[in-house]
Amino acid sequence: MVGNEQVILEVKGLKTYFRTSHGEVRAVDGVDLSLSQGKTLGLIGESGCGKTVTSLSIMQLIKSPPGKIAGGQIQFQGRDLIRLSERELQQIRGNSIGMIFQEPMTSLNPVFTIGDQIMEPLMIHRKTSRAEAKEFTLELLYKVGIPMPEMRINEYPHQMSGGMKQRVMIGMAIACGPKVLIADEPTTALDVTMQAQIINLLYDLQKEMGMSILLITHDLGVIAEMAHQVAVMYASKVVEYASVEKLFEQPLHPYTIGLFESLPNLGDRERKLQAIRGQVPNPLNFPTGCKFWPRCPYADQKCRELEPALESIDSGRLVACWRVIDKSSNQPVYNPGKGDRERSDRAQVAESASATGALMEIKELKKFFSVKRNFWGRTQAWLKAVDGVSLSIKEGETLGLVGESGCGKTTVGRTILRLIDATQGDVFFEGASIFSLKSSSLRRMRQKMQIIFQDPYSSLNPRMTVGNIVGEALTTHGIAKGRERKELVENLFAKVGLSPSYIKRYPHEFSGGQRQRIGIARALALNPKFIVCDEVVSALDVSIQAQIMNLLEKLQEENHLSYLFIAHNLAVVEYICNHIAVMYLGQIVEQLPARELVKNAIHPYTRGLLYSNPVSNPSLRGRAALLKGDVPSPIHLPPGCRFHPRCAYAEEKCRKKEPELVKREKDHWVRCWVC
Amino acid sequence: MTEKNIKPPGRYSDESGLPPQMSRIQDFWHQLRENTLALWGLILLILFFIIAIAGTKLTLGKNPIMDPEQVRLVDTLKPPLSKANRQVLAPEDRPLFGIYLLGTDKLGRDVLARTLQGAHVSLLVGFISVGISVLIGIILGALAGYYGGYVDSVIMRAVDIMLCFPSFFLILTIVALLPASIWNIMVVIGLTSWPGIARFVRAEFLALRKQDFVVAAEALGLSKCKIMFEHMVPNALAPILVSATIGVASAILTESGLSFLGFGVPPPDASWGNILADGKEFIFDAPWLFIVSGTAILLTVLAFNLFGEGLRDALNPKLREQ
Amino acid sequence: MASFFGRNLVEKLITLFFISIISFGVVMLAPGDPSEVDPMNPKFTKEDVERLRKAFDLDKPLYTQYYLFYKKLFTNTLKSYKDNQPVLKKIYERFLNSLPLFIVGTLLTWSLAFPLGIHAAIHRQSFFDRSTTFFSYLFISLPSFFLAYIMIIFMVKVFNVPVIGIQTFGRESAGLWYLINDRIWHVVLPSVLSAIAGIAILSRYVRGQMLEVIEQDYVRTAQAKGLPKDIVYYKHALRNALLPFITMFGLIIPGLIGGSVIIESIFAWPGMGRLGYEAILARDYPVILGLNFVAACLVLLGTFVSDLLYMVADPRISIYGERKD
Repeated sequence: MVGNEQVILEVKGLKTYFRTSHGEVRAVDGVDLSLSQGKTLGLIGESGCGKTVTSLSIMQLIKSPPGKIAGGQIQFQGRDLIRLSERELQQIRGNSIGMIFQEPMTSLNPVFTIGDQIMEPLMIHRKTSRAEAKEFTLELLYKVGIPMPEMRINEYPHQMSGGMKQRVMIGMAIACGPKVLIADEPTTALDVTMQAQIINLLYDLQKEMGMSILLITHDLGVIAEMAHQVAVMYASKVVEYASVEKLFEQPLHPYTIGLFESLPNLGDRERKLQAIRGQVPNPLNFPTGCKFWPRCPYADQKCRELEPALESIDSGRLVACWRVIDKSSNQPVYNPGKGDRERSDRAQVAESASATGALMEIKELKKFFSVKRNFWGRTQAWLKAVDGVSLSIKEGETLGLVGESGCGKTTVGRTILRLIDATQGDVFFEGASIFSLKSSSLRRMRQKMQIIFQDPYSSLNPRMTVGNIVGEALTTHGIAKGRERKELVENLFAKVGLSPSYIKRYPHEFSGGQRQRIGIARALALNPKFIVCDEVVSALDVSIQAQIMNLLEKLQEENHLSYLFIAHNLAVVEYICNHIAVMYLGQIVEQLPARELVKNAIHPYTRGLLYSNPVSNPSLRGRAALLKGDVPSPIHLPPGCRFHPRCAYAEEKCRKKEPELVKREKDHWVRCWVC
Repeated sequence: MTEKNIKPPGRYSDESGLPPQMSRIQDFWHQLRENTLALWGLILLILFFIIAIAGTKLTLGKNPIMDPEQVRLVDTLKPPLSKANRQVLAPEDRPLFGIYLLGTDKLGRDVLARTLQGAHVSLLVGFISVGISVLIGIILGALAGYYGGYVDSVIMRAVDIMLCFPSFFLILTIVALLPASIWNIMVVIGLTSWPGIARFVRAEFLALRKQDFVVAAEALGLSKCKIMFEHMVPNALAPILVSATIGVASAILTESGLSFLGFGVPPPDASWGNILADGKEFIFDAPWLFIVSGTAILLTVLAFNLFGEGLRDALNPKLREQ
Repeated sequence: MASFFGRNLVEKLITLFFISIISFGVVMLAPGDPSEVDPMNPKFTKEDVERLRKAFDLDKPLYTQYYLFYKKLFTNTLKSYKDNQPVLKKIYERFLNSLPLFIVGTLLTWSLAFPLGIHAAIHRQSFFDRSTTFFSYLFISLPSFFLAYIMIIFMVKVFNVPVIGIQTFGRESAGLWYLINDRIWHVVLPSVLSAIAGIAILSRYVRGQMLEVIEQDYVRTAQAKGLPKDIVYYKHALRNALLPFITMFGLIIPGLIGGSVIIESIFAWPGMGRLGYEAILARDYPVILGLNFVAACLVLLGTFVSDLLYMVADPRISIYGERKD
């Protein structure tokens, strides 16, 4: 678009449509992008905005039928990719344009070694011999940070962790030294520490090889860390285009502003999140006029009738919004400060409430899974998912449980509700031991403790109407029947922000955010005192995430609920919780009040997590202190402190003896020898 | 556009997420309509049902309109469309309208009447034996998949054992040893063909068990029985339906094979298998015996198979999204 | 490796034990007694029946009968009720006769079903795909005996060659060329017939499997690497699509006897299936039991081999037989 760098890849008016049985879906509808030599263009937007389809269209990997590229040009090295033959495209793919995908778990072929898979493009495009290719592959593996390449080259994908697989994918994509690398959500499926490592790797590779990167993501933090230019996509179109500095300084489009205001930032928990209302429209049923108007607080008559085109505002900035283009009096403004008071008041209320006694007390909880049995069925190896966790949750309080995947946080949540039987330990709810309850009294106790899940798709029974899903438990526990039940269910729907007229519909008719609301209504139906929120916002888009977090807060206030909030995103946990417990390999390593997290956390693991969390500030990018390596397997635990293999400060003692969780200050416990 | 026609922003976004409501049956029909072969299967199936039900009405009872057991020694091995012998036959012995629409067999029995009766037999065998095997399969598969551990090991071992036997030979053995009766055949086919269903119901349950809605049901305090049969079974129903449909086809084939070998439906009752077995002796003299019954089996089994596969496509959520 | 071997073997032996009980139970508990082989025969006196019962241990309790039966079977002293020949010897002879049919049929099935299924999957919705789909359904639904008679008429009328039996009766002294030719003519029709339903079913299955694999992420990765279509389909997709078929290896063996009962009866082919049929007609319990047992043993052997193959072919299978993803 604008700029004096040499443009290497230029997309003009790209249109990709899909034929479905319900009509034509315009997944990409007139998108312009330009990628400069050696730079990174970030493409950001919520799911269903057409980001991935754009990237697959550039590679010409759209399955046809049902998809087809209905128009536009993709200029690369003086040629239009859309007009090339399949054979010509094969010479470009993997050679001068490389691509990495979101799911490293499924993107590698399970039956070939990773060496074979990386060597393939070399032998095809570079016509190298097998021996040469192998040598080069070893170099590549070293370059992408895989330890012991000589050994790893003969391994199969299932023998590697997710982060390793993504490194292999990157190695495969850059094998032939491509001019352009398309990275489609390269870190979304990974933990935050791994995400930071992969971002750093891509950053270094770009500097070294001078390639251009098209980075597709939904995460503003990743954009801030990597991108030079940013294109914001909404409903199949680009709505804003700017340099990363300008965008983060002053977003112009109301949608971009909304994204920023929905996003919790570390160390900024006093600011109340401003969610964008509603959701991304269904592509079969786009609104007329500007596609954002139904969600836009600034929309007026013109926005509803006429669709704005992308127009230049000042040098290098483009935006598709009538309010901005027309410089109207009602111009959208980014004001991160608004709503402060409301939020801090609330936080105080919750914190004063926490003076009362504990509602739930978890004592030395252990859960081991048997993973290897010998011939006689006796267990030879245990997976210690939870290994001596003690926590207490007070009434009206939110306790955050945070850690990387596989650290055992989900198992804690399920064990305390007795959805899985514990190996050892006990849980007291209002003073009564839950683990010694008989099944009938347990069933009665379940009314007081509920759970909300991560995946809004698998958490609702697809064969039941949502009204039945929410109301079923009312009948089971003999609380309400017939008319009475219907009224209660309608009230619950209204409470979670859904129209009561939906109760006869089936789950598949709803969007992810709406389903999450239904899941919340189901948990609320029995009027519980305590709810386990198991990664409830991690599968949701930023704008919906803020809606759900605000809803949870509102419900907590209204119903005096306590939450155990399980998540991997530190910023989210910091925002919503009163206290935070950090978990690593089945143990709590640090526990402290949320407002002290950024300033006072001292455990090296907590600090590592904090540093790995991408910040929404491009001027702070490229910090060094990262956690190295992967989480070790919970089956073969390291001796001594479980964290020592990844710890920069580990001493001799850490390798030998396991530290205890020790109280350092009021409400602050740490498990560490050195800090 | 006037101001009135425009919904306020909040309302609009609320509804934009919901596509127009479509009932399950409409949706299913939408999918099925695009599969030509399945549609043909459905048409054939409806035809088969009409024939089988009409056949039951016409051929059963004390004085049926068409008597499949009426022996007419003057009219043996008559080709299709030939007229009945009016001089010898008493009026009540004559076929409907005095014409053998599909000819007669070696005893002068009306092939049309016998084929109609055979349709009824096939229907009965198909549905009852599949009913038995589906019932056993669902219960065992559900238990194995839900409880896992020892329950699962024991049930799956039983499945492995059943799968080791050559099924047709096993059925033949048992049927031959038991007194000849159509009920025995149905029960034996049913009792020997459940392992396949049990196996995939188990697989479905293993997958469903991990789904959050099952965990949620448990957290709400629902009983295990309720969770298994009200939450999980309905979600496994689509593949069960598909395999039951195809199971009906294979049960009909098995029955006809048994009848062909002389261990099927005992005479004088007719089944397509034994009409065909009788017909093989007169394959050159009276080919219609052979062709009529063979074609009847072919079309019926084809209809069930086509419809079953069509169901599979229409009910498959993966294919649906494309 | 040894542990895998041992565990698998023990499992199979336990299965075999239950199989022996079930096949024994099924036959013995069925109403009707072998001594009633021919109740209408006036020469059969009460004493004769008693003598028979004694000779075949039918006067002893069931568990003793069970023990004696398998003891005799394994020591090859178990005799047929009908002709007093050792059961194992009879089965073995018939097994050798069935083998050519089985081998030709299996070869035909596997060598045709895979190319048909793969081609149909890659060219989904093409004319080829539609027509193979149609013919598969047709052949899956055709009763084998119906097709057999149509084919016999066709062969006899068009080629004028005899096809019933294992060879033409009364021509054993003809020249070698004639004999070979004759044997081939006799083997072709029954093996094609026993293969045809198998081809139809297997090719559908291959097609479904292939379609599923083509949708996988790693196939898209292979395309994004710029690999030619052939390598994408025949290397990356096919290897994964073929894995499940290794397990089918063991399960085709029941066809050796079960599927061949009808075909062997029609073609008067003296194989295992026909032996079973004759034994059932004569209520020859030792042979029926022996056949069921031998067939189950063969299946177990087959599954054992396919377990081993699977372990070699799929790197995700550890020697504990657990699959990690």
